[in-house]
Amino acid sequence: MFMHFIKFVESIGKWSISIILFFTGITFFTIKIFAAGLFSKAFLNPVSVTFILRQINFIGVELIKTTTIVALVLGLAIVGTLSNTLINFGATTSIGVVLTGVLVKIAAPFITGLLFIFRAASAIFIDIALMKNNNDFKALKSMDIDEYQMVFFPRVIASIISMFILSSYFILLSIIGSFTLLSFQLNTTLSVVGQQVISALQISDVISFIFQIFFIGLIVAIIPMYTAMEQKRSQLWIIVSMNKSMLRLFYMFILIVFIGQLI
Amino acid sequence: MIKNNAITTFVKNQNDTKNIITDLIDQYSWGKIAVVSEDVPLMSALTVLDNIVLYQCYTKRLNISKVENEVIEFLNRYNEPNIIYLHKGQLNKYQQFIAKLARAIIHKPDVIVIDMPVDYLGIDNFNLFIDVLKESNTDIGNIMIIENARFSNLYDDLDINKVGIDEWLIHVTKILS
Repeated sequence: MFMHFIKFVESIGKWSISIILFFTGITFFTIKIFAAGLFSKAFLNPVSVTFILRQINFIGVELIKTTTIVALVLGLAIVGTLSNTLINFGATTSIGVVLTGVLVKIAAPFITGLLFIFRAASAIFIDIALMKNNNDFKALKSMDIDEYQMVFFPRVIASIISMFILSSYFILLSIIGSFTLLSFQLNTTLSVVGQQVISALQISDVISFIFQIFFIGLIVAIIPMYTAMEQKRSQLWIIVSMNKSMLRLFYMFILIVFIGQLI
Repeated sequence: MIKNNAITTFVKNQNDTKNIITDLIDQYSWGKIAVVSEDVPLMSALTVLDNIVLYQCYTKRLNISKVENEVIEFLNRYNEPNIIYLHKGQLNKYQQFIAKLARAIIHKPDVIVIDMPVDYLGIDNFNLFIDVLKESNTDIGNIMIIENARFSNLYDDLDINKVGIDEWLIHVTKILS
C-alpha cells in the first residue's frame, strides 16, 4: 500500500517536472523566435517576407473553402437555435447582445481554432520534422543562416495572421448568413439587425477575441515546431512526436479558450 | 579575400581528410568558402531556385525573382534548366550536384570546395562539369576539389596544384582554360 502511494507521488512529481520543463522550454523557444525575427538586421528581408506570404498561402488560404462552409452552416445553426429560444422567451431585445457574445467570444475563435489546428498544426509539424530528418538545418547552419529567423519566425507570423483573417472571415460570414435568417424571423431588415449587433459589441468581447486569436495562432505554430525539434532523427519518431504535439496543442487550446471566456 | 596559399596550408595541416569539409565550414564563413558536398545538403522544403539564391538573397536583401534569370542561365549550361522549380526529392544525384554547384558559384565566394565530384557525376558527365568550370573561371576565385587518388588522371589536363593526403588528392587550383 505504502509502495503504491510512493509510486503515485513519484508519478505526480515526474508529471509536474515534465510540465514545468515543457513550459520553460516553449517560453524560451518563443522568445528566441521573436528575438531572432524582430530584432535582427534581416528583419523584413525580402526573403523572409516571401516565406511569410508562402506560409500564409500554405496554412491559411487553403482553409478558406472549409471555413466558408462551416461558417455558413454553423452560423445558421447557432443563430437559428438561439434566436428561436430567445423569441420563445420573449427576449427579442437581447438577441444582438447574446448572439454577438456567442459569435465573437466563443464560436469564431473556437471553431476556427479547431479547423486551424487540424490543417495548420499537422502541416507545420510534418514540415519541420521532415526538415530535421533531412538534415536541412545543417545546410542552414553551414550558410550562417539563422533558422529561427528563416524557418520558425515566418511560420509563427503566418499562423497568427491567418488565424486573425480566418476568424474575422468566419464572423463576417456567420453574421451575414445567420442574420439574414433572423431578419425574416423578426420581420425586420438586415441593416437593423446589423446595427443591433454592432451596438451590442462590447470592448471586453473584442479583447477576448483578440487574445484568443493571437494565442491560438501562436501555439498552432510554436507547439508543433517545438515538439518536432525535440524529436530524434528517425521516421518512427515523427509519428510518435506528432501524437504528442497534437495532445499538447489540444490542452493549450482548451486553456486559451477558457482564459478567453474569463476576460 | 582568402588566398590560394591559405587554403593549401590549411589542407596540408589537416591530419585527417574525413573532417576537412566540416573544419572548413567551421573556420570560414559561407561568403568566403562555399561547399559542394553531401555534408551541406539542399533543403528539401525549398525549390532548386530557392536553394540556390537563399544565401545571396538573405545576405544582400535581394528579391528572389531578381536573380532567377542568372540561375536559369547557369542551369542551361548543364542542360538542366527544367529543375529550377523542382524539390530535392525530385532530383537525381547529378541534378542535386548541379544545384549545389550553382548554389556555391552564384554568390562568387573566394573559394569553392567540391567534394568528390566523380561520385556524383559519373565519368560521362565529368567532362561537361570541367568545361563549365572553365567557363565560369572568370567569375570565381579558387576551386578546391577533394577526390580519390584513383581518379587523379581525370584532372591531368588541367593546370592544377595537387596536394596529396593519404589516398586522397586535394587539388587547389585556379583552373585555366
